[in-house]
Amino acid sequence: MVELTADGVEAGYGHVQALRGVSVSVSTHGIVSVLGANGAGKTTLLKAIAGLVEPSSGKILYRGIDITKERPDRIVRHGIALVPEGRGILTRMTVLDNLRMGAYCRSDGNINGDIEEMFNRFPILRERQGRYAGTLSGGQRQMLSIARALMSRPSLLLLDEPSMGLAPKAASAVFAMICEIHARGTAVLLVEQNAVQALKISAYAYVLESGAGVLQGSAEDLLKDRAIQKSYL
Amino acid sequence: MHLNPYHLQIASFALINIMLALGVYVTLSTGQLTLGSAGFMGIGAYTTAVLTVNCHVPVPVGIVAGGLLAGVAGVATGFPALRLRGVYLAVATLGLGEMLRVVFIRWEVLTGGAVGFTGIPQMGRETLDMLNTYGLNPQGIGLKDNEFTAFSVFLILLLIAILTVWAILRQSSSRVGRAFSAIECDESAAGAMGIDIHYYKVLAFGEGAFISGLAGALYAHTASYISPADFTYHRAVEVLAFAVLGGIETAWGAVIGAAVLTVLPETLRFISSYRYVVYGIILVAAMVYRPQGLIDRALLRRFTAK
Repeated sequence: MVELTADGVEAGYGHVQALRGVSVSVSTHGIVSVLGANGAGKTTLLKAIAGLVEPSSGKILYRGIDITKERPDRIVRHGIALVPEGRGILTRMTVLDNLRMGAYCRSDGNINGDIEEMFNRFPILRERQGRYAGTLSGGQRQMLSIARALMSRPSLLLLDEPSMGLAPKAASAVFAMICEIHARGTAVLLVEQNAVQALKISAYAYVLESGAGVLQGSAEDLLKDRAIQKSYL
Repeated sequence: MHLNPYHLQIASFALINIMLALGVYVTLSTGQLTLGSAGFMGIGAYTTAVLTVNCHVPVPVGIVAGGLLAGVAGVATGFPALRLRGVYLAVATLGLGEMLRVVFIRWEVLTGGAVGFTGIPQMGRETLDMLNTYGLNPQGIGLKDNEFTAFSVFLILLLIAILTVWAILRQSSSRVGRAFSAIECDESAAGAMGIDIHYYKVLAFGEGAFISGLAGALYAHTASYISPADFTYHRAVEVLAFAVLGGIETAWGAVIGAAVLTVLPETLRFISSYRYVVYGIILVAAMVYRPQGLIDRALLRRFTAK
């Protein structure tokens, strides 16, 4: 089932246009990746979907609902969660409070149960629950950031360069976690510079270059593509 | 029983300064650096002065109205402030404060202009008069009239300051408080978590202005004379220093910072003209050795753990 479609999205900051008409589509069948160099517009695309940047034109539909001009807090309530670039950890709050903040827009009574589940999936977080999140290592922060996003019970998870700055082992653990999340039925849109790793776990991928889509196809095909291999692999 | 009205007056001004520092703290707890506190204080002070003197409104009503009007002005400032960050917001609010000061000078019919506003009912006197009409007399508990007025002002301020601290601490440990600190830590991450950033930032601005306005109104009824010189940017910078020296991690920082920096110059009177040099040295030393402020969460935790 198609979860999200972005159609001809343009967005920017002041006079700088970061996206010049990008279209992507995400379904529950397989992880979708967006690849590209620094400044290609990958982060802006995720921010536009999450409502943190308002598109100047184009349309973003989520399960048939137009969310193009919605505010970020409304979009979270629709079921889209963002794991931001640089993790966006609340460093001066405890690990436990960070998780609670992830469930900020929920009002059901199962929040503590979900926290317990996150502790089971990420045992290191249980160990560190009372510590300030600023004391965690890079890999632990990434796990916390992902766990926090899951606390809003999203049906679409947006991940912005989750492997950035991580040692290979920690990065592999993060990619394995993303696969597991997807296997449990959450649609995933992954932005990565680490193209090989991303393509290996993805079903479909888009390549952005200076704010526009230049290439798209199944991950399998892209892994074999000459041009891709030259520029990204 | 003997009370020293001079010491009580210093304690009273310390309490007003604590309120002002708390106003700045609330706004700062969402990461918004404001230097508009003196202006909001002025709005509160002039509002209650005009209401109680010109319109003969009871003092408590005047004080609440002063706080509310400042709060409304704060909300109105909070919206444009959403577009500004850090030092830019500080400079803009500084400009706002100066603009308000010019209004206080120019709107002479209402404010008395640069000469100031005199004859504002003094809270202590009012309390004394009220007691007298019931046939009660402070001599009954062994206090002279001036001792009693100073003491009752102190008690009223103490009560309101305690209520304010209580309300702020309660809010800090609530949903609203968690949203405030998430916004302070990382605004876009907070937005991505579903926190309505605009709402909470404007709320923090309004609350801070309300508390500053309340402090200003209380100041007017303590000093019974106000002039635009009481609400200059000097005051705003001084109040920011209270909050920062005390520490902006918890509300207790503002309380301790304001108390220390109000009492300090008084205890240093014996070195007369050098006392502000010492004051300055203490400020610099505090920022070098305790940049997080005198009171931080780690220190608080040590107290509460026992």
